Amino acid sequence: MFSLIRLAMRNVGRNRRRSILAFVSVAISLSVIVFAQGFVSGFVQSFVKNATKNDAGHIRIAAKKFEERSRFLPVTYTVPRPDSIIRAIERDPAVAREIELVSPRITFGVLLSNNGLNKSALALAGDPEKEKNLLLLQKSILPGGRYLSGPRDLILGSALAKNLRYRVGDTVRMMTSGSDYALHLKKFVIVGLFSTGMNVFDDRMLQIGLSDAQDLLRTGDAVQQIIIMLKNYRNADMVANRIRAGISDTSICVTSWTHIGDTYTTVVLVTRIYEWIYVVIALLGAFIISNIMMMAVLERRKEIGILKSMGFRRSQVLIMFLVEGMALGFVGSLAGVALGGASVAIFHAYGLDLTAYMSRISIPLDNVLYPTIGAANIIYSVVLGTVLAALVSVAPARQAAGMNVVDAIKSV
Amino acid sequence: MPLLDIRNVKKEYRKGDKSVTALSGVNLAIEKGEFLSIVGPSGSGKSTLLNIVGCLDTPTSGSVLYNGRELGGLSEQQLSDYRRDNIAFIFQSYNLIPVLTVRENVELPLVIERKYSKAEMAQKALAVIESVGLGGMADRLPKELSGGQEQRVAIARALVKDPLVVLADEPTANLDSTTAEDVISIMQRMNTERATTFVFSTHDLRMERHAKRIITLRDGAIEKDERRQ
Ligand SMILES: Nc1ncnc2c1ncn2[C@@H]1O[C@H](COP(=O)(O)OP(=O)(O)O)[C@@H](O)[C@H]1O
Ligand SMILES: [Mg+2]
Repeated sequence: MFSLIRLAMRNVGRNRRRSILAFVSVAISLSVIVFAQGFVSGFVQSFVKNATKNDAGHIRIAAKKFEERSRFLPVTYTVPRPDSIIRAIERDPAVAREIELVSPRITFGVLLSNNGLNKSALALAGDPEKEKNLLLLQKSILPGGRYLSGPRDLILGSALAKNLRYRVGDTVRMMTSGSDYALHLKKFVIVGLFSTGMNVFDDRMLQIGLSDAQDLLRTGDAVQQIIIMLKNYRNADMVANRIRAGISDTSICVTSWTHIGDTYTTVVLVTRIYEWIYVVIALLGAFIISNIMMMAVLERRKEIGILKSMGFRRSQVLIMFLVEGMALGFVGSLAGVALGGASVAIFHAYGLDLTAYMSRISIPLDNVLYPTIGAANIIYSVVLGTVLAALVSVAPARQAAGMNVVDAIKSV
Repeated sequence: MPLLDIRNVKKEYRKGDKSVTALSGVNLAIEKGEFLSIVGPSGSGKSTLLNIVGCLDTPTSGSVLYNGRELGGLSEQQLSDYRRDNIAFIFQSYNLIPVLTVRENVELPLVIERKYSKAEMAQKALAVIESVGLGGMADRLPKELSGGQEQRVAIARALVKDPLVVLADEPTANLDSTTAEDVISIMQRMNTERATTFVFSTHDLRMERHAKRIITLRDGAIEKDERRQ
């Protein structure tokens, strides 16, 4: 076995030009794959963040009863003393290093009326400063308006405002039932209109400050949810488990985005599709190995005959050629991964600015993507390149193994 | 009991509706330690006979017995293993694996036997390389050797595992006559020193005189079977 591998390795070095051709081809396809993986994971990171940011975040801490009825957004089941929970989370270094942002929130439905026009809307109330990094609505305020800065400030989706004939400076009388089941009224002033280009925001969303919402809804210091955003969406389940273990109150529940809504299904689907695309790209790169091995088998017919006349078994000849093909794939994959990894690192450092294309994209994304890559991507890619190289070598190797000795020896 | 007992071996090749008879009923018994030459014009069936004796090819009818044992029903893998353990071949040319050195080429039969340590293999290989007169060339690659040296390496590789029989199909056909004589006399010396059985074919009448027994083939049949002292 050992010397079979040695023999195969010598054969790799035999026709330099051809081996280099195989090497370059595999390296190029693998670097494309690794770069695509980096891009896709940056894209998914951004997608998950944006798809969850006005909903449950990567992780949501809420009352169990709220979680059971979350689609109705009840304000009656709250998390008491959110500050102490947040402090506890930030004290655990294993959790703290994963976290990008923690924001306590109340989200509720309201009916807005103006000039006899009615529209239902979704009110998002959080710490305005923290929400600058999460909802990012300050970036989409239309000229003539501004972002939230004090009590009773309200910003409103531009399409929603248009439907209700609201303008900046108008007063909004918001009436809704609070956590005490009684109806309460509070007046707000529209300080700005936002236009994000995304219908979910512009058609039905408004943002106010958390303390205004707590006052309107009579929740006291309690909040409805604590939203946590992570640096890496993939770690959500792990971090959620860790946080859950640290909370003794059994009426509180910690839920990862993978268990809320259908964002997770979408991400899994996208990831699956890309995995197949990677396989196709890797196959294209490995295909040349198949041709090269085919040529090698034809060229070495006499040698194969001699080895078989010496008592080499069919399986040994097969292994010898498979190892040769695999070695070409492995070395090419390593180089490709290094190249792809380096380009991901560069783009990760500088970011990929997609602002120019954003207006044409209807899915929620950040303007700047940061491609990322992990050890799992690298291992996956090297294994993929090597395994496919072995697979495409099966046909030539079988041809060699099945060669008739007498015919093989006659050929020169 | 003869070492090799060839009984009424026939071989026919079919080409479309025409059939070519390569061997038409060959009977031949070879004893251990013989140095036997098969002669005959091109196309007389020498290669076919050697290939059948070496289990590379199967007869259309008849049988070959090795030490009284018939190998007719063996699987491909069992035949591979039988060749590995008992038979060695030397061909007309390009016998060596070009990416391996002389020593590695000679070690190859031992490597696939998987019975010896690295050191034992190296020692056996170097000894037999020395005995065919190539001491000092163990680390050369085949492309650095002359035709005669290549054939000597092929002899060394054949002998390294002490086979039952060495089958050589026109081993001197690509050599000039002095080198050819050299190669045959090395085979002859190995036959005397080690009592290894050699069967070699040639169509060069000058080579025959080294043989102790000469079989003449014509049109796939034995025409003459002469012994010399
Ligand atoms: N694979 C084959 N197909 C058809 N005919 C063959 C084949 N191999 C050998 N022959 C024929 O068998 C006969 C014997 O050939 P061979 O054993 O090679 O003779 P030699 O080695 O004495 O020159 C020749 O007529 C040859 O044409
Ligand atoms: Mg011949």
